[in-house]
Amino acid sequence: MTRLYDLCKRISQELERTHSGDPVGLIRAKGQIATRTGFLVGMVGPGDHDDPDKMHRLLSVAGELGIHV
Amino acid sequence: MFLDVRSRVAIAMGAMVAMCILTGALSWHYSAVASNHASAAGSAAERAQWVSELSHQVTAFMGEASDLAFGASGGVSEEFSSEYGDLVGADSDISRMLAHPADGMDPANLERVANGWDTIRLETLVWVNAEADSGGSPARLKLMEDGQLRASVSSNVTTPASVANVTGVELRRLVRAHSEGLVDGVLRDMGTAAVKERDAATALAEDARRLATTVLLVLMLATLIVSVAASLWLLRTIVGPLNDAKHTAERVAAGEYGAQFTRHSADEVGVLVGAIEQMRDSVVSRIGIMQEMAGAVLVTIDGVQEAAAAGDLANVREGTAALGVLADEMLRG
Repeated sequence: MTRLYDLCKRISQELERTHSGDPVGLIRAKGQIATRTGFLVGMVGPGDHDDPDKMHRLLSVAGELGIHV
Repeated sequence: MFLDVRSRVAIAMGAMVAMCILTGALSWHYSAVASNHASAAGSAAERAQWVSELSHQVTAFMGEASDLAFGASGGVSEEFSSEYGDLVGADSDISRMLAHPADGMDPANLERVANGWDTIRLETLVWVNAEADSGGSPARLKLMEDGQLRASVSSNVTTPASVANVTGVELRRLVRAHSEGLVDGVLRDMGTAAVKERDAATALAEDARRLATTVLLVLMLATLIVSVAASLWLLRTIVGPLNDAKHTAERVAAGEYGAQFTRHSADEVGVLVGAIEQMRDSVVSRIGIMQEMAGAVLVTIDGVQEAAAAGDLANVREGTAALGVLADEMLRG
């Protein structure tokens, strides 16, 4: 399991937690991350290599959206 | 110990079949034992009946011979009188019975009876003829070529040396003593032994029948217990995990995507549950991806709307193109 995959999982879990009971808000937040990072978090698999650029973008967008992991 | 479903079903079925075979085999065995004893009892009863009938015929013969010897039937009107049919009949019946004894008779006893009868018969012939010579009997006894006796005016019987000098009275006593010795001695002993044998065999047959019934009932109960235990075992190890998987699948179908499937074992059911779990994970993953794409569409539409409101046609075109790419990706799955 790579760090990128682990990061994606933790961000997804945090999104689920913070938007529990607000499915549209959850979808919008996921959309924000997808459009701003340029990749889909759900497409990252446990065997994908740790791309530093992806990790940087992901952490940056998550921070802007108030998601701290 | 790991057992797959096929092995468990085979073991359960094997146990039930084995119990059925055991029940059938033991029931057959004890039934056969009871049948053998019953057959022995029947054979002993036939011997007892044979002895009783022979005793009756000997007694009848002696009675008829006495009637003839003491002139109870009057005169003999023909060469071969028909008035002594009962005597002749008893003699024939005894000969026939000695020629065809009941099954299982002791050959030594049969020989004793046959010898005794030959002696009684010969002495009776001599006695009746002696009584006729002295004027007491109206007829003599004649031996025919077929071996049968007939009452006749003359006799062809040669008096044996053993009773050549014995008087009629002494002969009568001798014959009576010998006939009583046969009926009350050898034949009675044989009859008593046959009756005892019959009663013992009947008791054994009854015991075997009771044992067969008991064994059958016990084994039927054991078979029932084994069948129920085997069914419960299969139910617990196969149907239980399948029911758990069904309930979890229903929770997933209701939207509870995080519901966990429980793998109770590594058998076929466990493999099936694992495959369902993988399918659930795949479907949930795809739903997540579709949610991300849908979210991206929403965000892009928001951006296009803002650009359109601001009159920024370049961003509108860029957003619209991005929507096209997203729609294409979503359609590809």
